[in-house]
Amino acid sequence: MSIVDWVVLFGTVLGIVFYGVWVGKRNNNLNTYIRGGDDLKWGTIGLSVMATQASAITFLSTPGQGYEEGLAFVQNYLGLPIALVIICLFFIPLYYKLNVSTAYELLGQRFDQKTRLLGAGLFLVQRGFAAGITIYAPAIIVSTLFGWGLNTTILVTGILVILYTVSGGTRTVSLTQKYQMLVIIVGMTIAFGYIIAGLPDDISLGDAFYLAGIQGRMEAISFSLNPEERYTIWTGLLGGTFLALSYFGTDQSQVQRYLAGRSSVASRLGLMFNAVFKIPMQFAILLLGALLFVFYQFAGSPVFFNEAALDGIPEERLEQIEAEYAAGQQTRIPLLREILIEKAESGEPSADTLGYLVGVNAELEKQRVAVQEEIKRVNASADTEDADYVFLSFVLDNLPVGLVGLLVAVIFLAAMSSTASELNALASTTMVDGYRALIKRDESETHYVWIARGLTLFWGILAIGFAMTLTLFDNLIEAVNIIGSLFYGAILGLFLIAFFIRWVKGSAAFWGGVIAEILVLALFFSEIDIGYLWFNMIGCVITVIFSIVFQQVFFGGLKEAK
Amino acid sequence: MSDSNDQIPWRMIYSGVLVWLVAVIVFMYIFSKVYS
Repeated sequence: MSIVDWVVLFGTVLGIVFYGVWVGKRNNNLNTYIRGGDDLKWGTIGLSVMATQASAITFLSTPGQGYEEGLAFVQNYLGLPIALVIICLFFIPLYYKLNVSTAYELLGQRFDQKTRLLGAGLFLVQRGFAAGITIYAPAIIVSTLFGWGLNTTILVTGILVILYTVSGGTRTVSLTQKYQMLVIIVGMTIAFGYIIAGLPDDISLGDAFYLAGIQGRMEAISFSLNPEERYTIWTGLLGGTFLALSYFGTDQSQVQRYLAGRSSVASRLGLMFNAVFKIPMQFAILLLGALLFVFYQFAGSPVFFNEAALDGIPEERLEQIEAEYAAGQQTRIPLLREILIEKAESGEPSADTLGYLVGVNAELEKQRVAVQEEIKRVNASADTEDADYVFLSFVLDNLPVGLVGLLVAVIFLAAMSSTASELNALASTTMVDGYRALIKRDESETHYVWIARGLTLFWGILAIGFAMTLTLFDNLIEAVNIIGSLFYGAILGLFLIAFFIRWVKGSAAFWGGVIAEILVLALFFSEIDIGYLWFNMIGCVITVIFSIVFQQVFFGGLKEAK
Repeated sequence: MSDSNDQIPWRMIYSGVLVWLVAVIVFMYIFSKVYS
């Protein structure tokens, strides 16, 4: 990166951090620190909820997903608007009515202390784990591409987040997220424009979409009932609704964002903002990836985007693979133009030309497999996936000086905004549902604010420490999703009982949740092979059924409960 | 923080969001069909 890029990167990131610290230094009462002062407008809430969900890996992995597999991943978000409407109708009114600071406080008021602690405990385990990964996942990619030290990148990101999150709490997190999200939107829009401008002059945007489509990158909606197909409209509407209901309705890192509204109107409008714009945003990022796929077909891509992983492969062998890959790509360019000419002349390209393209793509894939085998030969535990590196490689090689710094800042800001929400929520839950509920009930506001600050620092240091040891594990993103699915189900089950099955009381709900969690974990460690997204639904259903049965059999049933 | 007795037509907003979801799905489906 040039000096100008460094100035833009540091200027943007430090600007946000200083703004956060400046806003936060006045936050000395508990309401402002935990609930954000209850005066944020709906626009701030909308952007803050969006920034919390969109971590750095969203802006690295999602274009990679579009590049490799096309638009189908967008279906995962189809349940999100439905879940947000349900939350506005049932969750938010009760959160406001009971005047809670954390989601789990509601469990305490509706059931009892032990059920509240169960909910809070399950949240702390899974979110504590996720916070480390939110810092680690982008750090490994950025440090590899730029040749920075991994631990230095993790430390810098972590310390910057801690600086303003510790000082200002919820209000600062939400206000900084507003600007972080605006910078992210501007940065991604510019990148999108550069990809389109980077296409050859004779290739229109429609041509690029068409070329992406005939190579399987444009199928956004699938009505297939085949259970082996990962993303379909059915899994999106069913599984997606469940996942979004758990995440937005019961995860304190999100609940804390919208409870900071000046009224339930602001909270609900903030969520409706996400219900409207989230799917188009994900669609646009995936489309950016699909366009990158076409861009690199004309501009020529490296055989493997993570070039650092190629170290150690015998030079002669690597040169041979790269030469064959480059030659294959040169053969493909006239073929792509031929396809467009045939389409213009007769409506669609001939089967021969399409067959030839399939053959050339298969030959190119062989070269990629060859290089992946070489990487494995040098280092058996090396990662042979390079999709996460596609977008930043494009930025680094194709954007002008200054904009490279801005786009790297986008990745850092996205990492910081998600981490800030997580640390803020972890500290608030530990303070409100643990320290204040169990250890010291009647201390001054200043005392609790300082305890919350200390806990934010504690969780921040834990997340950094965890991120620094993560190199020991493989498949991090999948790991965080699995952990989430293992714990979300029981938590959502407890909340659904709280809202909709009013005759089930605390003890029945608590034991229902405990049994469900044990069964989900037993199922996970058993020989039975179940897709991890299903654990969410299984945990929720078991919690509800067992709680009803326990209430009926052991705790006096419907009559007693009344 | 007040759960204000607002005059906002929530039922219309929620219905609008769900209609928007259907419209987005239809758009993406047609987009896929045109370019596949």
